[in-house]
Amino acid sequence: MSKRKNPSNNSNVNADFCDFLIELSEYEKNVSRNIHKYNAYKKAASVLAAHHKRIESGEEAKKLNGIGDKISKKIDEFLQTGKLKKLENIHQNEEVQAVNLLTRVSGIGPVKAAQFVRDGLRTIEDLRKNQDKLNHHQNIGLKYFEDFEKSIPRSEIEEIEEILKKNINSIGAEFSVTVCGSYRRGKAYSGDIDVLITHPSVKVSDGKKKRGGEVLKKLINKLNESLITDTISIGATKFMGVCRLSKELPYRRLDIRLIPCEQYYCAVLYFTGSDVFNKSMRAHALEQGFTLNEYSLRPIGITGVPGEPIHITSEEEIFEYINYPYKKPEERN
Amino acid sequence: MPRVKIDYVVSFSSEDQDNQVNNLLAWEVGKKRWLCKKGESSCSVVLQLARAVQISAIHIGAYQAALVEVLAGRSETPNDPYQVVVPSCVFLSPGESRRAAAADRVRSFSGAQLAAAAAQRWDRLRLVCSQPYNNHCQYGLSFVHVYEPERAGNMAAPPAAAAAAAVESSDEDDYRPGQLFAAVHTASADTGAQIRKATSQILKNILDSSKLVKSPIIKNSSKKQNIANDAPSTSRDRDGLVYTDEDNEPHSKIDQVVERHRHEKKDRDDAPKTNVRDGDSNKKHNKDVAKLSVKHEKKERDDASKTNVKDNNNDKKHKDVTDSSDNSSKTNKHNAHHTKHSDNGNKRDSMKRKRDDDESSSRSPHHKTAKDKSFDADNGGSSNPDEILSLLNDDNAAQLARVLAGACLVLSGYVHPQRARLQRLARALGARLLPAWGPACTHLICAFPSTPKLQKAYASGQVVRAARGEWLQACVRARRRLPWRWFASERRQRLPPPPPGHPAWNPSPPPPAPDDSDTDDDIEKVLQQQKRARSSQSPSRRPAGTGEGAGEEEEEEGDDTDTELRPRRVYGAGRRRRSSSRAAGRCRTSSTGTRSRSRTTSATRSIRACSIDTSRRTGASSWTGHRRRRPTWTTWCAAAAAAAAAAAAAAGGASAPTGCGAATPRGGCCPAAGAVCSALSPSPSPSPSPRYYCNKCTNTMYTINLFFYLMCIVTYSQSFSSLSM
Repeated sequence: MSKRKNPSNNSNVNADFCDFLIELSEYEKNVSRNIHKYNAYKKAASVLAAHHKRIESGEEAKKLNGIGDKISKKIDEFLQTGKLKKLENIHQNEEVQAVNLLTRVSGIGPVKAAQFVRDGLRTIEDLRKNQDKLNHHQNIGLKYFEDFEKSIPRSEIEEIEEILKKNINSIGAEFSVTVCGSYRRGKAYSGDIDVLITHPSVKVSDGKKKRGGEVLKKLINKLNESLITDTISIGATKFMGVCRLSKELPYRRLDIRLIPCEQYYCAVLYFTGSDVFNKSMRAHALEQGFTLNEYSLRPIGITGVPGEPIHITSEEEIFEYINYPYKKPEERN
Repeated sequence: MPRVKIDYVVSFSSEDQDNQVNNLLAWEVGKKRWLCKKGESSCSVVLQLARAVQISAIHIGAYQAALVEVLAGRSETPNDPYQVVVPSCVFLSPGESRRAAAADRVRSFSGAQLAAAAAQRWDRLRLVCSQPYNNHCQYGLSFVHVYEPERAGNMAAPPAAAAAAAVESSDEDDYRPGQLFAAVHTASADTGAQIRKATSQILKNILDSSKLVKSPIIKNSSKKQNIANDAPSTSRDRDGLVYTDEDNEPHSKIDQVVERHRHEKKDRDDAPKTNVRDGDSNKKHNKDVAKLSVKHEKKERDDASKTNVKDNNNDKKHKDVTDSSDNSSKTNKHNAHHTKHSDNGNKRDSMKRKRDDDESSSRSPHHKTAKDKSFDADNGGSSNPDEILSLLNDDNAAQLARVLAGACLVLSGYVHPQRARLQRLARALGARLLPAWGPACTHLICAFPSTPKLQKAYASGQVVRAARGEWLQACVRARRRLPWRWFASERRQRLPPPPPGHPAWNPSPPPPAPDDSDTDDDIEKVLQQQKRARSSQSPSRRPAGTGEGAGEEEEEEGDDTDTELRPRRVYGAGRRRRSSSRAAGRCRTSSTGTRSRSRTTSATRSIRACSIDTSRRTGASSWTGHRRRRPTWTTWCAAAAAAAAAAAAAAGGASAPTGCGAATPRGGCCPAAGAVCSALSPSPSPSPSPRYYCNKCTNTMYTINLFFYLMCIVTYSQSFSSLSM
């Protein structure tokens, strides 16, 4: 999952609120490690980002779904003073800043970042001096730190998609390829590239190891010549690595997953996101007596036992089963 | 696969006038069916079977229903909740439901498609149908066919319902009587793999929990800061408005959750603390010993007043117990070196160890606090694997490679990544690794007692030295061969290792520094010291607490493979007197020449090792020790006598429950022969057999020993109390 998710877009009239809410959510995730507060701030930010008109008061914001007492008070404070006491405190705390900085490196999460800060590694420079303390993933994240921070323009992903499809089709004609993530939701910029691949012969029943055999490795070997520059990890079903389209362009994070065909559409739905949309969709599925995850959609029996996975042949079908009006990927932000 | 008759309909939610529920009772599939009333989103029916049966397959024909679920129950317990037999299944997709086309669907379920409950016997079925996608149609079931497993011998594959071919047909798997057990049996064939899996699970858990322990929550500190920062601001009105019970009061739901998590973490944090406390109690024991032998201490001071002034408690203690006045110049040097670093108290000592470790592994990725360190040592040196591995990288490789040279190890019960780590350690230590136990093997590295390999090794009748992996780690850390018994995987073979701060754990000095080498002068000095010792008629010794520890004797004696067994001989309860007197005798007879010197020192060190142990255990001399030893009456009397006679070396030694592994079998199985032969045999020849009970005697012995054991406690405590007075 990309580290640079940002619900605010250009037409967001409440961008400044979103920014401080996201900053607070980052703080809750990285430093106080309170995932619920993180989610609350995230949700509030995305609700505000989707709101069509500028919020004038905390009272007004409170009417929106996902904004409660505390956040509305914060909006009031921000409107009145132009700043936020809690945020100021966070900014003053060097340790917090260091943790926030280190978590921006791919492969370093809040826990590892906190450990580094405790060990006295506070800046990217410090990390570069102590590369022996990093694992392979973190080293790559560090190597391309600046590049990974840059967002990827849509046109570039389109080109990469083209190359991927050409290479995959040369292995077998029946492969289907989908680039998911914010790209599929029609965003102009993305944080990383998420690619899902499937083939009719790749079945759940084959078991994880046998599934697809060496398909993924073969593909990566092919791409190593043209696109892929580094491999963070590669297994039978998942590849994580770094790619670059041409010498002038920055390095990009690339994930490729080989999905069994029965699970493909659930996976596409899940990896397209957005995360807020996924949550609401799953909640709706539960209301309708189904359970939805990235693998399958299953009906829930009267005793609460989930039934067999429903055979699904398209994304629309999932919406149909759970009686949810179909939303195009662009509408799922 | 006989079909089970459906007796009658117990109950149902609704029925259509023309399509009544009783149609489901028909044996043949006809045009008649059961439908519910219009506009219901779900309907259900409860059917009574002719008798309670195990369900091997169910064929269901549904009409217009989108989802069907089958549950089972018993008429005897109608209030018990029904159990799922066929989990909710899709018969019609939403599109088909809305079009109301192709309304008849048949599916059959058997084998893996049935839930686990189908293996039990049931006499009632409840079928729940639902059609959430179309409110205007009536829907229901055309037929329900239930099959039970074939009762006698030959099993034909269940006849796939002809109609089922239209839809997805089920696999034809079926349970034969006993088939389940057969499956379980074949699965459990590879016990080794299973055990490995289980250990990996356990280890994972341990690792996880340790991770949790290690990662402190920043939240605490940062929150405090927030409170501190917020506190002054509450005086101002605006802040008061915004920040009243902002993030600090735990009454909101989220904070309650966080609070709970924190409590859990705290509980987990407490666990290591208790361990540390155990270590403290050990120290207390040690101090007691020191008090016991004040006399010797006095004498000590006279002898070595120069060096002992600053010596730490540990050193004193060991010197006290091992009674001797032999202070070679070499050891003086060592002591002098030692005093530079050491202070009174174990804490400092562990600090020093930390420093040493840091020096040797300056690149070690994790800095640990002194507390962590001492905790590690309590565990017999199981600590961060990275740190251990980083020790391999330093320039002591050549020295390390000699540590276990000649040893041949077999790993058992360890899984990756730990297995790989241990293999690397073993190779770095110069040991050979074999995949399975064979005649050439010397040690078995077991993850836990009684692995299959260990049992096989015992069955082979060889000498089996089974140690835990920590042994290798400790050896790497100490850069010398530590006694494997400190890490024996089986309790009865285990010798308690010296306390964490003990110099025996310290890394041995780097390979021959010119000062430490045995020059001719040094040897001369040693010899003179020994002469003096002889003239004073007291058993010789070398003070403990020098840079070298008990384990070093093995290095000195080179290819003598049985050296590790030596402590056992000395510790053997019935033979303590003999061995100590033998040692004393050697001291007297040891004339000039390095060879005899080394023999003497090794013997005395054995005693010293014994007394080290004593110092850990005296006083309340632990209960478990007795249990491990299971001495017989005769050995016990001998022990008491020996203790009285060899008061000097074994003042506390008699009370030390040391010979856990060795004393037992000989005492029980073939007491006299074993004891005598091993005590008298002048050269340490590896005689494997007497170390363990022979299988025949084991059972009877346990019961007999249990009885004796109780009696022994009584005599033992008496003899000890008389001794201590």
